[in-house]
Order: sequence, then structure tokens, then C-alpha cells
Amino acid sequence: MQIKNLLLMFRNGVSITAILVFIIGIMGLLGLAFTHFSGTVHQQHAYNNQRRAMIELIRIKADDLLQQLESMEKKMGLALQAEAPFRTAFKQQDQEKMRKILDNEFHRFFSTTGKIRLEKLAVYDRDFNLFAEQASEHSMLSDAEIGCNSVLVKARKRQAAERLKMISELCQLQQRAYHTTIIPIGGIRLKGYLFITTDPVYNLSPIEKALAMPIAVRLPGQKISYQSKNWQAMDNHEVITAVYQLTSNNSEPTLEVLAKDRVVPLFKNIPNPSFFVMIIVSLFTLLYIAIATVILRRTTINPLKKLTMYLNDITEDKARLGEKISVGGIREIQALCKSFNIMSEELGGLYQSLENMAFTDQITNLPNRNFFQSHLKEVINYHKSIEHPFALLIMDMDKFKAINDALGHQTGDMLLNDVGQRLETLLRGSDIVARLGGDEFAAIITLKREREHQNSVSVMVHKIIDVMAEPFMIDGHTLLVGMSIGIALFPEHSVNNNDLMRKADVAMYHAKKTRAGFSFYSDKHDEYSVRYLLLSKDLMTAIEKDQLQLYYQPKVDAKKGSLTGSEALIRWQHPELGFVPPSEFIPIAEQSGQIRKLTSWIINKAIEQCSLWRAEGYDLGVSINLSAINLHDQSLVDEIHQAMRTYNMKPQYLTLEITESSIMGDPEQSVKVMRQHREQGFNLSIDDFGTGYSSLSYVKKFPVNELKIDQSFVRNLINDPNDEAIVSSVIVLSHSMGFKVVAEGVEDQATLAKLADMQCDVIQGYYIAKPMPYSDFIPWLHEYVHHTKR
Amino acid sequence: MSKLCFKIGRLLLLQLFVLGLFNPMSVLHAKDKVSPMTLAGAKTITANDIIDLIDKLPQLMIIDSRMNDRPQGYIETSVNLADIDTTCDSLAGILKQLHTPVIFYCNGPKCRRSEKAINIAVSCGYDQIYWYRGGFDDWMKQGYPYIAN
Repeated sequence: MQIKNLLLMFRNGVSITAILVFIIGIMGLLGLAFTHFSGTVHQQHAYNNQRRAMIELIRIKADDLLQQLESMEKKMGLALQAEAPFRTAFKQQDQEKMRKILDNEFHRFFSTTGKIRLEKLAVYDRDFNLFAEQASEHSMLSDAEIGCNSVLVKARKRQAAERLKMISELCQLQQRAYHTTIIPIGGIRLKGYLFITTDPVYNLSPIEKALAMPIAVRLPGQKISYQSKNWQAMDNHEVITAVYQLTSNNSEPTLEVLAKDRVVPLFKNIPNPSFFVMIIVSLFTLLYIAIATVILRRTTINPLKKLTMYLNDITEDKARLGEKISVGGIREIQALCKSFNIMSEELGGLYQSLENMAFTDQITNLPNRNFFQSHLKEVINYHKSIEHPFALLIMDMDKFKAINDALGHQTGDMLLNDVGQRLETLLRGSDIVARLGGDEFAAIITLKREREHQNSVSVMVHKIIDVMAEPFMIDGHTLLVGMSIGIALFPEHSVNNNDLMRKADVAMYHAKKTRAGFSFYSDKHDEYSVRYLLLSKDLMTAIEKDQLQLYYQPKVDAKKGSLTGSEALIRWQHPELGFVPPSEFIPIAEQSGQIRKLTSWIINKAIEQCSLWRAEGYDLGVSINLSAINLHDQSLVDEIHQAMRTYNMKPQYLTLEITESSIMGDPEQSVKVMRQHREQGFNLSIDDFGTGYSSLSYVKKFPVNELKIDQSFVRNLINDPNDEAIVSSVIVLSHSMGFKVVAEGVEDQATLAKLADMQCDVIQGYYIAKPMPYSDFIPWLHEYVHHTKR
Repeated sequence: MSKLCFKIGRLLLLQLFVLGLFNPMSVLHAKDKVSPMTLAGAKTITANDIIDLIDKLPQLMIIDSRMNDRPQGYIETSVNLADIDTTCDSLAGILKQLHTPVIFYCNGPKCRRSEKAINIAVSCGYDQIYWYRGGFDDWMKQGYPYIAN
């Protein structure tokens, strides 16, 4: 569990303090261990030195004492054999007398004064035959045993003068130590031998006095045979024991002398200082940890904390980016802080510009839709609290797209900018104007607390319309711009921001539709939501129950007047709502997922009916309008192909019209599907050209062979020089790219003549014929063919 | 406390002992006082030779040239005549003839008394002189019996 916690701690990151404490702690422990170790080594060294010194002292004293013993044995022996009774007894071979003399020796000087402890005296003749012997009362030696028998063995081997020499041996026999000396009887005139055997342990005991330490003597590996009185009293724990081994002449270990000495008296001060030093070292380590921690806190941790806190602050409040901070501390952290300040400043700048970009429209520098919508919420909350009304205006420019296409985006942008500026000049105090996108502007107008605030809004709106009526001078062009304004009132129309926006929008569309310039919101205009649900529901039945019908509008050659084709247009006669325009139900079909089915129906119907009139001898094809969603449907290609085969029609008689704006939704995918259609041999036409955002240079890339100019340009062609310029240039450019040009919305002879003059290829419009159901189309064809022939 | 003093003193003694053993000065100092290896008119012998000579030469005399150290012990049959007492007359009282074999000894090479006595004996005309250069120290060391009082 402990280890788990530790691992977890490491995974989560360890604080620098913890690391420091850990390192210093380890160093401190190592220091302590080293101190302890060196202290122990020193102590052991000191102990060993003392032990060696003790052994040396034992050696000196033991050797000295053994020499003394040997010397005493020799003196005693020499003196004994020189005495007259001894000589007489030996000479007279009187063994009994000799034994008495020997026995007497145990009660004489050397023994009685305690100088030696005699074990045995033995007398041998020159040929080493035992003459007499006497052992002490307590002796363990049996008869004819000298003690150190090796002396006898050695003595027997000697020759000539060597035989006179007195020799001594230290030995052990039957777990006892003996010291034996051989002395020649008769001095230099050898007559026999006297052996003196003593207990050497007795003579070694004075070592304790010389060393002033308790000693013990034992045979190697045996029990202690002598020990000082205070030997046991000395605690083994605090003592040094030294062992010296005495060896016999042939180097066999014979005796061990042990000495004990207290550690305390001599080395009292050695272990204690090391303990003291260890405490000091520990204290210093702790002190050092404390100091290091304080320094670290001052120089590193606190600055880092400060920096971290600041970073957290910035995370919560981005507006604080760019604030300079100073944290102090070590150089590295200061460098970090400096770099951080630089980065923060840069990020602050970036954040500011991002925020500007996010909430500001780049073209007009007005607030954008995001900002406007969030601001609207605040305004609503505020006006709710003060119970104060305001008006929301949504303004849409008329014909802006045409200007944009004809004169380029740059001019369009400049125009938008100027419009924005003019709108801004009209604002009062808390009012705000924003560009919602495209050519759409919005404004919040705070109203006075009066009953007739529709009037005060109208005043404002008229001001806007007046200002907009002034021509704009842009890039050498004089541009006239109309404005359709929708107005929704708070709290009268809605207190919800989205609803208020939608209602202003509805009003704006109404204004646009009626060309009234401006319109207040009214429930009458806003049947959208109810209708949407109804239409969406009923569309399915409409497809199934044949409530739909295809109308055909002929296309004719602008110059020759001959028929070149026809456009199939869908019509829906709703049983309750009556006529529903395709501009209303096509988007519903798209949004409710019924467009595929609808398109399928149109394709089959159009191809079927086309094949029928072709069978009757009218050589003209049919155009079908494809929706943006159809452009993403690969299977449609096969379906059209299938229908063509079913009705045995050649592909060149089918034209697929695609609106410019639907291509621009996803140009790559559109081009891909368009290519597939082209490969099948169908004609492709760009419908409503001029209302989308594409330029001709872009359209050049599309695999199309026809371009239809939107009727909004054609309708006022005669009166509006702008429209004339646009149409003229579109025709010229289209021809240069190999496209055929179709003009829609031709309503009179003058327009037709003008278009023919401009080299327009095909025309379509009320002037030729209105769209008509199939039942009327065949007779019309008949009539027209015969009429033109005439 | 007294024990501690005792131990320190003992350690110091040990050190003196060790230093003394290897002190080159003490060797130089003793050099002059040692007898030469041989003396003119005398034959240098060992302890073993003495035992052999005692057996071989019945008339052999052993003269102990030491003055004060005799009570510590002496070689059996030896006669004490200190070097300072050695003259042709005193020698004549011990040695019956100029051909009488005689061994001189003192404590050892350092005592030099036997050396002096031999020089006198040679000058007196004795011609069977043996010099036990090792002296009584060597005798004891060899483990030969001696007369102790």
C-alpha cells in the first residue's frame, strides 16, 4: 500500500522540496553511516592495536617467566646433585636413600617458598636406567613417567660433550602442561641424570601482576586450568581479550595465555566521540535541510508558485494576457519569467486581435453576427429589467450580388464598408449596428418610452432609407443601392432574441417582396412555421398522388426564333393552400429528405413527356433543374441513364440545370458529379448565373456548355445601364469560353432585340411563353412551329 | 587513574625496548669493548672443546679470570684468578710447568679479563694456552652444568 502511494506520488510529480529533502537526507544518512563505519573501523583498529600490545606483553612476560622457571629448575638440580648425601646415595646405589632425598626435596626451599610447583624428580644412570623417582602428592604422572618424555628421548640421542648439556622442554601430557629439565649428575664428570618436572601454569600466573589484567591459562582447546580471581568478574561485553600461544620446542601449541582488558579505561573516549559526532552530523544535516528548504522556497518555489498562480489567473481570464509580472528568485526562473512575459505579451496581442476578429466584421469594422447576437441577449435582459422598448432592424441591400459579380469583390467590399459607415453615422448613444454577413446589416434602436414608438422607428428608418438613397462613389463607379428593412419590436413582437431576429427577418423579406423599403413585423406575413410543417407533411402525398405537375417553358434562338429546348418547371397545386411556389417547397423537400424522391419523379416525368413530344415530331430537348443535394448523389447519374434508355432518348436532348450557388456549396464534389453527367453525354447548364458568388473565371473550370443569366439582370436591361454592362460582359466572356448563353426573364420585344444584338444565343421568358402544363405545351408547340414557319 | 598511568608507562617501556634493540649507536658503542676473535699464543676454543679437553688432558687447569662474578656460578674444577691478580708468579702457583695446559675464561667477549690474563700468561712463557672466548655466559647458554652457590 505504502509502495503504491509512493508510486502514485512519483506519477503525479514530486515537488522539488521533496527531492531536495530526499537527497540531503540520503547524504546525511550516508554521512552518519560513514561516521559510524569509520568510528567502528577506528575502534576495531584501536582494539587490534591494544590486543597486539597485550599479546606482546604476555609474550615477553611468559617467556621471561618460563626462563626463570628453567633457571630455577637448573639451579635446583645442580645444587641437589652437588650435595653430599645425594652423591653418596647415588654412588652407593642406595635407591631407598635416594628416594628419601628426592622426597625431601619437595619440602625444601624452592617448593616451600612457592617458587615452583614440583611434579616429579627422577634419577637415571648414565645409560638412562631409572634409579629412583619421586612424584608430588597431587601428581597425575604415573611411575616411570618423567613429564616431558621428549627430553629423555632427546637426551638419549646425544653424544660426547652434548650429553652434559642441561635441556628443558614445555609439553603437554594427558591434558596437563609440564616443564621438564634434565641436569647431568656429577657436573662435568657425567655419572647420571636428574630430571626435574614442574607445573608451568603455576609459574605463568604472575603475568596477571605484570600486566595488571586478569589472565587465564589453558591448554589449547581445553578448559581453563588457571584463572585470575577477577577473571569471571569482568564482563565480556566491554573487554578486549588477547590470546598468546606458548609452543613446545617442536612448535606444537602447548599452552595459551589469555588476558582481558577493559575497553573503557583506555578507549573510553573513542566510541563516545563518534556517537557525539553522529549527533552533531545529524543536527547539521537537519539544519542544512532547513536552510536549504528556506533558500529553495525563497529562490525557486515561491517564484514558481507565483508564476503558476498567474498562469491559472490567465487561464480563467484571458484579458490579463500581456500583464507583466516579476517573480524574483534564481536567474533561471527570472529568465523563465522574462520569456514568459514576452510570450504573454505576444499572446495578449494575438488574443486581442482574435477577439476582434471573432466579434468584428473585417470588411466594415462593425460588430459581426456573433457579437450582435450575444449583445442582443444582453440588451434584452437590460431592457427587460428597465421595462424599456427597443427596435431590432434587419437590413438587406438590393442587388448587391450583381454589383459584386460585375465589379468584383473588392468593389463590393468597399461598398459594404461605405454602407456600414453611413449606417453608423445615424446611430445614437446606445444604438448599435452590425453586419450579419453578405449584404445583411442589423441594428438595435433604443426607443423613447412613448406609446407611438412605431412612429419614432419610422423616422429612423426613413433616415436610413434617405441616407442609402444617396449614390455611392466607389472606384470611379456611381452606385445606387436600395435597402429592404425589416423591423421587430421589443417587447411587443417578442422577448426572445432568436425569435426577435427571426421576426425582423420575416419583416425584411416582406419588405423585399413588396418592395416597400421597410416593413414592421406582422403575424400575417409569418405563416412560415405552420406552413413548413404542413408542406413537409403533404409533399410526400403530393408526389404519390400526382398533385405535382411539370410545366414547360420553351427556349428559342435569340436571332432565328427557332425552338431550341424547354425547361421543365415543377408546380404544386395544394388541395387546401392552392399554388405553392417551388422556391418554398424545394427547400422543404431538401430539408425533410424528400428531394431524392422528388427529383426522381421529375426526371422520369420530364423524360417521358419529352419523348412523347419528340415522337410527335417536335425536335426539342428538355432541361431539368437539379438541387444542390442532387449534386452529392452519385446514384442519380445511373437513374437518369436508366430513364433515358427506358424512353429511348439520346442524351444530347437532356440538359441538367444546376444553380450557381449550389455548385459553390461544394465545388469539388459538384465538378466530379458534373463530369459524370457530361460523360453520359448530357448537357450541363449553370442556372441563375449572377446570383451566386462565383466569378466567370471560376465557372470556366466547370464541365458545362450553357450559362443562364438570372432574370434579375434581364428584367431591367433596357433601363439600367449597369445591368446592360453586366449582361453584355457575361455574354462576351461566356462566348470566349465556349459557353452558350441563355437569358431568362425576357418580357418584351425590346429586351429580345437588345439581347439578340448582344449576341445572346437563347432566350426564355414570358415574351415567348409562360411555363405551361404538358397538356397546353403540345398545342403551343404546334401553333408556334406553324407561326414561325409562316 | 593509577592503572591508566601504569599502562601508559608500560607502553612507553615497550617502545624503549623496541628502539633499543635496533639502535645502531649501541652497536657502535660496544664494538671497541669486545675482545678479538683470536689471541696470539692462545687457541680459541668452544664449550664442547672444554669437555673434550677435560677428558683428554688430566693436567688441564681452568682459570676463571673474573673478579666479582664468580659467586653467580662457575665452571667446575676452575680456579679463580682475576686478571688484575694475574702475574707470572701467581700463575706459577697454579700451573706446575710452562707446558701445563690451561683454559682461561671470564664472562664473555665483552669482559676482556681472560684476554688480559692470557696476554700476561703468554708473556710469562706458557705455551699450552686455550681461550674460552664465549666465557661463562656462553657456558650457561649452552646448558652445561656449573657450580652454583
